[in-house]
Amino acid sequence: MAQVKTKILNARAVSNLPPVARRLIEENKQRRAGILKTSDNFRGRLDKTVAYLRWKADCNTISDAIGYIASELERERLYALYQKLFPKEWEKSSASFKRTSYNEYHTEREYEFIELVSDRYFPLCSWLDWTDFRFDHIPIEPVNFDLCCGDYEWQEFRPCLQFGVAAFWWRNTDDEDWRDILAHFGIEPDALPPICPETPPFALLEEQRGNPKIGRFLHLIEFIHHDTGNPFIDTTCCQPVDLYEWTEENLEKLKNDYQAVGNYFASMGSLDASIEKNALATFKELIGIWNTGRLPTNGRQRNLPFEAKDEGAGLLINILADFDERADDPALTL
Amino acid sequence: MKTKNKNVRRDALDASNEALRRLARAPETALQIYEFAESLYMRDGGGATGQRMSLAAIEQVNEYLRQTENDVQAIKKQFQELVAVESGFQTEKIPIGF
Repeated sequence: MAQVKTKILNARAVSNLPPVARRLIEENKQRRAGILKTSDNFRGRLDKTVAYLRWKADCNTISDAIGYIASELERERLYALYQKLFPKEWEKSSASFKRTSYNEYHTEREYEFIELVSDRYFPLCSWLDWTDFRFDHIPIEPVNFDLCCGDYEWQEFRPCLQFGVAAFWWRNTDDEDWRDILAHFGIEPDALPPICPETPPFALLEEQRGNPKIGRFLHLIEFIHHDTGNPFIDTTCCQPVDLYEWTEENLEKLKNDYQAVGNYFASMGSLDASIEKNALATFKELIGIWNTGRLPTNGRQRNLPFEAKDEGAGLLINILADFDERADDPALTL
Repeated sequence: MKTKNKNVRRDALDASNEALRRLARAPETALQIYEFAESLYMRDGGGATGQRMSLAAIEQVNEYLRQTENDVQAIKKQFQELVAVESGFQTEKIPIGF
């Protein structure tokens, strides 16, 4: 005989319908009474009835009804966020709360909110078809290359990535691409020191993160390895990502994360400028940092204090200043 | 050994009665859920904008839905257990709306 184990059901679930739900039910009863008195023609009433019956047929079990309410609550969540984050736009808006035959997943008002977030907070994923799908979570648009599974030609990368990906990601300095990349910069392979096959001493590098030259190197390495803690850089199509629900906190967090992306691009801009100025010296410096965790020194500078040897710090400051001037431009080029 | 079996049988029947009592209350919850779903369906159908829900209200309703879903699962489980105990049940003939 089966042993029946019971649990005490939550009695509140039976009686405590939240006030907002009770209000909506009451409004609906009044609306129904009003509909009966309307002067809609027969065709209008018939269309409404057919639509209602179709909906009812899809919603005929308690689980279906709960699923429908949950999906409508997600819609309400976007409206509530719209009102809270963009109150002026909400007041002015005339976008409807209806779905159209062109888009059965989002209302016009939801679209308006999505566009505002994309314009003013951070770009939402543009290659996904919003007319064909409803996102349970905030779909962010990664700014990085999917170096794990993507298929890229090295010419598609910016200069520091052309070198960095080949040197520090693939770490195969014996292939044709590597020779082509170095030839592109006018460098003979023998002119560079060998690259240590092990990972660099990150603990040592972390201690020097405040040094702009070490910092920009760390940013490059973290960017290439998708290891920044920033979802816009780390997210790829083939690895698990953090899913962000539509909440105010998450939207603000992602807004800050997207702004922080600029630091990584500033570092890479600094590296590109150094490569343009002297590619060989910059590559030697990067390899030296990778191999030893320290900036390479020449004989004359060897005994000088660390700060005194940092000739490139001023350059980075200038580049960061340039970057700030261009910060309004949302296009982040790789 | 015989006494132990009797106790098991009595416990099972008590549990069955309890499950039936809870099943009897389920329609009230179900009706509320159906009415609420319909009110949301009708709300924007007529083009009326109406007052939207606040984030706090949405959380309240979500919590209510979670509780209800848990209860639905519990009732389903109890019902299945009841079927196992009461061999005469014909589940296909009991329209409990699940």
